[in-house]
Amino acid sequence: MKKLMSLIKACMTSDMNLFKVSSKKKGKSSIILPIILAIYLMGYIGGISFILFKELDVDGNAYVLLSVFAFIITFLTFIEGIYKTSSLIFNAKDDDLLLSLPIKRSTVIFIRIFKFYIFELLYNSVFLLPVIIAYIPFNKGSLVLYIVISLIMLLMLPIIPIALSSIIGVITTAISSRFKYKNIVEIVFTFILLACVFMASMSGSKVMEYLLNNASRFNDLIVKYYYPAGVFGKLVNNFNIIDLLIFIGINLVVYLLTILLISKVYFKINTRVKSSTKKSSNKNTIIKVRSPRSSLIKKELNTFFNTPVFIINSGFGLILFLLLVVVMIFKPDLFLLVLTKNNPNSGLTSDEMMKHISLIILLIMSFTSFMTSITNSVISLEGRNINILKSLPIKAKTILMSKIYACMIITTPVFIVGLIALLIKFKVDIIEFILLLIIAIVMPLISHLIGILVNLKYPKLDAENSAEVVKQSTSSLVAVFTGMGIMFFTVFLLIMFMIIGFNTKIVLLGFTVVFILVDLILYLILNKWGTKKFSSLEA
Amino acid sequence: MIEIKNVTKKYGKKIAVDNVSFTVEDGDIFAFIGHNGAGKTTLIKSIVGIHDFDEGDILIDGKSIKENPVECKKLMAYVPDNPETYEHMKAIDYINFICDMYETPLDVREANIKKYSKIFEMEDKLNDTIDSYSHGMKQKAVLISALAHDPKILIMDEPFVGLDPKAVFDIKEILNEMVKEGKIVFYSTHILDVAEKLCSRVAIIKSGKLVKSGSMKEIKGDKSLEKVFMELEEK
Repeated sequence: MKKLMSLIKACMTSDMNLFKVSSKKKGKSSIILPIILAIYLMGYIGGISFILFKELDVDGNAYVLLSVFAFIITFLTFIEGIYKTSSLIFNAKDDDLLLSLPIKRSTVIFIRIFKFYIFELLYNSVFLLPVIIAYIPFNKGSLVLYIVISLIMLLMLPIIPIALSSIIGVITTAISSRFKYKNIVEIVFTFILLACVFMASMSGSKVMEYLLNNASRFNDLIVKYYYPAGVFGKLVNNFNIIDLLIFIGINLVVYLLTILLISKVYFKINTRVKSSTKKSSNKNTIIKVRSPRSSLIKKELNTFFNTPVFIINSGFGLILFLLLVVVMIFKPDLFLLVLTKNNPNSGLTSDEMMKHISLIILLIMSFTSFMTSITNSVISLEGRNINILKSLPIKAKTILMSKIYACMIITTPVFIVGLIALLIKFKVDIIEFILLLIIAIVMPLISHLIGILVNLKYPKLDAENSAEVVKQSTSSLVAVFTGMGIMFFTVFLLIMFMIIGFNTKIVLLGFTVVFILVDLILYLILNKWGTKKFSSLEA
Repeated sequence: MIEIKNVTKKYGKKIAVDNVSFTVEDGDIFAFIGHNGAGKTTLIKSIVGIHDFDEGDILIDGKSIKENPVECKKLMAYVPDNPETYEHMKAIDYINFICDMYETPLDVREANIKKYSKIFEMEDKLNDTIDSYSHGMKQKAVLISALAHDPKILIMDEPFVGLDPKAVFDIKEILNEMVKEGKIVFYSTHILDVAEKLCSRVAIIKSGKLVKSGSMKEIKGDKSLEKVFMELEEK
């Protein structure tokens, strides 16, 4: 036990400090922004859940929402797990060290999964704690008991989705490691899995409708289909020690079984992952001359396409955009119906929305482009290689801009192709067509510039693996929350303009000008502060 | 020529390099020695422009690395203590990438890649990705990339670590060839007998301070470099 505690301490202090950034000149200012964002998000979630609790409390069914939130958290943890587990469990930098120590393989697996669990616990707390607090005024029973149940739920909820996604991650890696192009197979597998989960969640609006009409039966439904989430509402509404013990028991058994199961196959798969199957090609060595900028862009693209978790993370936003484009083209009514149902107070009908089709298209683009932050890990992914870049006779500005250009090369064609398909389908006016095309370039650029600035502010150059950088660094969290904030604001403005009935061309022109101005301001910040910050990075 | 003028580098309150000054002339093979944590890597990283420093200046052929970093870096090649590379790249792509950064003409890079990959017996392996390499092979790939753009100044941090005896011999030959052409080789090392035989000049650093600097003959006199170094360490 002492050995295990010592291991946990060593591993956690080295790489799980959420606010650990690599700058040696880190100060208190580094953690202020993440804290403000977390408080903002927690306040927002708390406020929304309070309103929902109040609405359901009329029929005495507020407790049902606790199960719903528990289910959503479980679902999100599962999705996160699918992204990450493969990269977190296999081929870590500390593999050689841990595997050479006199400890069981199951201990190594325990450490890997435990680190992920702690991160998810922190992440889930941001979402679940405000919900738990917001429910206090509606709690009918003992407050102490409610707090104890809530804390146990908070601690236990991530376990099963992490266990399940770990097993999926192991299966995906086991299959992909047999192929020559392991990365491509892993990426395709993950996208198929995520697409299945996305398709399954498309019926989300129907579920919410059912919840509001049949709240009390809904909790029974969750208990029936996913007991660990449903038991939250059940325990709060009608406490039963047996239910609590069953809940704790299920989680512990699943966790231990997962560790045992994975440790049986881990060593074999990890060895296969580490051994390169790429053989020497007999092709003649090709020596080409490129300009420094194009060579840097090529290097960036190479990094992107060789980092599965990077592709999956940033590629999903683009695939979501294409999916929404397909839905808009073939089932426009369905899309508009979802939009009007999710904004019932807007008073807009599907027909009225069709009149503002260019704004709807802009809404889709802003939703996906601000949610697609590729650049928030491009500095951290350099790791110690940042020293190579810094020793080269190239200006910092050229290096940073090449990272932006590479991201534009990845995102712009997707947005342009999707956009053109939509514009042709809905026969959009030529001026609106041109303005939307400009927006398709300048809007993702904002996301890219914010991402790189955030990553320069919160670099993590000593990560154990790419998943840690892409999915669980301060930089990725801050950039995603910032993107979300801008996205919500843009969507809110767009819906407001639709309700007021503003001239679409003027709205589009206004957004184009504002986006270009924001790009310019961000570019100037990157050029001045960003280049200085890059030069001061130390690995 | 490299001129290091009163350079001081601090990490918080800790002084890693303390008011160090010395000069490396064209045609020198310069050994930079000191115990672990003495400040060798910090100073080397300051010379090649990876680290900023708090006081003093470093001039490369008369130009300040602080004022003209790009022009200074164009004259240098850097080989780090750990072979840091983009592991997912093929070695040839990595070498080409470095050459692109230095805007090396095609004929020069072709000739140098051919020459050095042959010397290091890497010709058949350049099309492999670097992540499939051993430590020594990575080091060789980094060395080829550093030499391929024909630098005037070669700066290396512990270059012999992890290399096989033939590669060590080959590097020594390459370095001798370079200095005959008036180029500069500046490297840190713990292998004192190699430094003693190979280098024309030497500097010894201890706890961030320069304790000795000069020609190899002046520094060691009738003793071995190892003996001089140990005497300085014990003081």
